[in-house]
Amino acid sequence: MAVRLFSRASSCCAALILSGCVAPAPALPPDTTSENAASHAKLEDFSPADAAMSCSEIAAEGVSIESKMQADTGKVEANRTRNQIAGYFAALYLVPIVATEANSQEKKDIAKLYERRDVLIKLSVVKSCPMPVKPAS
Amino acid sequence: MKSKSFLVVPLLAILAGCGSYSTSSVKPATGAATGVAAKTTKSATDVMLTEGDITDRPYTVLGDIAVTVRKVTIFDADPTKEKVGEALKEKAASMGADAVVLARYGTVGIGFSSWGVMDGNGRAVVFQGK
Repeated sequence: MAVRLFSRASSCCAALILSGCVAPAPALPPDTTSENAASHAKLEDFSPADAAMSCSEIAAEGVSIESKMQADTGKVEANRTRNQIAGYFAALYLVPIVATEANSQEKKDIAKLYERRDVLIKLSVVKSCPMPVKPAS
Repeated sequence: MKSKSFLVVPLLAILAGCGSYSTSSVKPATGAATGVAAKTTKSATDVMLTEGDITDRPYTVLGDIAVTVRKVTIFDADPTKEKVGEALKEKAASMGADAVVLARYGTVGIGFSSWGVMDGNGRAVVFQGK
């Protein structure tokens, strides 16, 4: 009875801890470009350094952000098999949880890169520059 | 008997082949003054998806979409950006949207209810003056 209780408790703990392994998609920025937007972005909304950026500088930073995102995502995905195996055993025995790799730094970096890209997208709209992201599909 | 089920259960799990399933939700877009009523449902293949914004066609916002794609068993392939993108398109299509702008993705990981979970967000929009 006690063993079964411990097993269930450890499974619950493992599931709760491992649920932190998923990084949610970053939140969307406020709408400033649609016809029904409450307000539209202006150049004064940006920092002086951002407002001074040219279209080519925006595009170059967009490419840099894309490659950094791919590198960070690659690091997270590289640990997937290890995390799944550790997660499987953690559901049986609590100890292997230490074997998981959360990639917390990469996930924080990705969230920051999305934030910066949102600024560049908004800046591109205000300056009538091409979008600093991959074309639509 | 016990040894048979020991083999059969994982085999069934592998052969189940359900792959993945998705759940979705919609909320009003932050910064949009008024919501726009949904139009008739359309095909997901007709919906445009972009990680950027659309500047060459005026649009109004239908709402912000959030989707979660989960794999069914530990043996299925992990959810990918492509699968999340498809789920965003399907949800947008069901709302009568023409496009999903500002699409973004979480990273794949072990979730509370699945061995492989990936989130996606996007803004469903409908073009004006079609």
